[in-house]
Amino acid sequence: MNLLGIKGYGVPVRPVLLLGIFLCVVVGSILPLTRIRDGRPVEARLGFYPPAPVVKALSGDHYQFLSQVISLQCLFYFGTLVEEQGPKPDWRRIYQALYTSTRLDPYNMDAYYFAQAVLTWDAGMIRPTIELLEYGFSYRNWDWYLPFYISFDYAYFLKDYTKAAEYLEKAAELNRRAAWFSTLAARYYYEGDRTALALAYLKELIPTTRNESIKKHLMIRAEALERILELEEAVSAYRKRFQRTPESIEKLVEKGIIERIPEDPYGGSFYLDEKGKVRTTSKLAFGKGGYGVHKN
Amino acid sequence: MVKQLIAFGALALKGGVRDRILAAILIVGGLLLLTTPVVAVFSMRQVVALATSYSLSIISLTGLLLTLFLAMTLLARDLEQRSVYTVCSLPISRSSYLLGKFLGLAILIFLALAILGCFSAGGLFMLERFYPGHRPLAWGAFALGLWFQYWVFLIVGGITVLFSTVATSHFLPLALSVGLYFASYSTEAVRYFVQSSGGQERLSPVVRVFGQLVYWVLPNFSAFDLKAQVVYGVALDSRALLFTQLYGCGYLGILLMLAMISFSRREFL
Repeated sequence: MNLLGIKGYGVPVRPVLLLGIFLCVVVGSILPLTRIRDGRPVEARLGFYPPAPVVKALSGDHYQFLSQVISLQCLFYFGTLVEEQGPKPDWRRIYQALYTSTRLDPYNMDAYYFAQAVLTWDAGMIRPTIELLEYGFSYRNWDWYLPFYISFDYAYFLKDYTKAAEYLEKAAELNRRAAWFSTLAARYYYEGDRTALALAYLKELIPTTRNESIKKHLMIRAEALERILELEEAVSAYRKRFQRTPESIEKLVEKGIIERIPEDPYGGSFYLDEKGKVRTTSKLAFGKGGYGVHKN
Repeated sequence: MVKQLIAFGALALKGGVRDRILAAILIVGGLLLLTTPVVAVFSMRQVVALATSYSLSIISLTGLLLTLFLAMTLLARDLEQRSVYTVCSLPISRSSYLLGKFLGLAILIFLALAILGCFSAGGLFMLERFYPGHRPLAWGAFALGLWFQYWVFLIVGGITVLFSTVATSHFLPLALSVGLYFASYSTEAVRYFVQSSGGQERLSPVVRVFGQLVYWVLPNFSAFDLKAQVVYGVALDSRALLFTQLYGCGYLGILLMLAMISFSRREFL
């Protein structure tokens, strides 16, 4: 048979041979293509989303599923950075993607949960996150988690205890567990013990977290906070015993208050600042320029 | 008239059941539904909700493809095979022929949605055992959601059939129906925007009138969309449902009447 069955061509080429050639072309191109695609900045994997009204108009009745796809893409993007110890995520784009996701489906709990888990602690985007959560609560008015998150953000990050109590009351009206937490939180608000408050909040959050990347992320933070709390208690004990603040963290070991200085799970070293507050050189983030910008 | 309707309906139904493309679309839809648990487990907090919205999206996509394919070929096939000439020479009205064929189409879509719906419900039921959600899945709303989705397809089918009665090519009714299907999910949002202060400031009066006109002329598919009620258990509004059903019946009626008028005036060469 001649080339493609057309007579007049000198070299006979069988379709099977052509198939083989095309297969070689595909295999030969897909491998370098995959390498090129993998070499793109992780941000490129997050994609670009037009404004929510445009996406909604183009998606017909699939907007709800699309909303979930967008929030899952944020999770995969963040998960990749956590696993690869990659650079600091593009928080602005994550926020915009989550904003689009919640405008497409205001009931999408994954988007709110993810925003609360990373945008507050890591990105320091407290106000935008609270706005996002408040928007969600105007729809998911049966869900105690949203006022619970908002309350924590007001108390821990903004130190606005009046607002925090207001939202905690709303959460407690919806769920008994939140009521239990509100008693605990009230005590911490009163004592101004932010580390204990954050720890109690994380311990409430971790068991209900299904995604492994986020869970690991939260557990490391909880571990670091536990160690900070341990040191803060040791500093209090030192003050009680010696009526003054220790000059350095090593003094706590020297005076036998603690056996040794605990390790920071983020790889940093704990120290005392000029006011005697426990700090860490890691600022609760991995590596130099690693993801996470929260200051303890 | 009723006998003729039933006869043509049965004919369309038989033709549809025998059609391999129809079976292929249904099988692809069923296979996609099988992937629901794989997709759903990625969710951080709402496995069943993600599974439900994924299933509904697949049912909607499969149903849309089925409707477009069936409605597009409803008249075109008879015109191509020239069997319509035989029908026109018999002492039966063209309206009965058209309505009968549409009845067959309606039954076929109903059956397809029922199959996909049962398949999906079975999967979701199992998934809910393993991942109980914040709220139990609202099965009544699920059935109602599928019912109203069915009415969207009937209206899309009506639009395609109406265009088929005037068009001379397959492509035009298909393209117009797809365009109108997507546009009809946005007419309500467009109307809200033109009425808002932002819309009043930014849009010219002509555009605003056009935006309002689009809402009144095109079907408002957002009203038929019960996904939030199905997926998140948001309360159903019985009055809204009643009026949506009436609106759907009226709109479909208008489309079929226009199609009948147009088809009865069509000249076959």
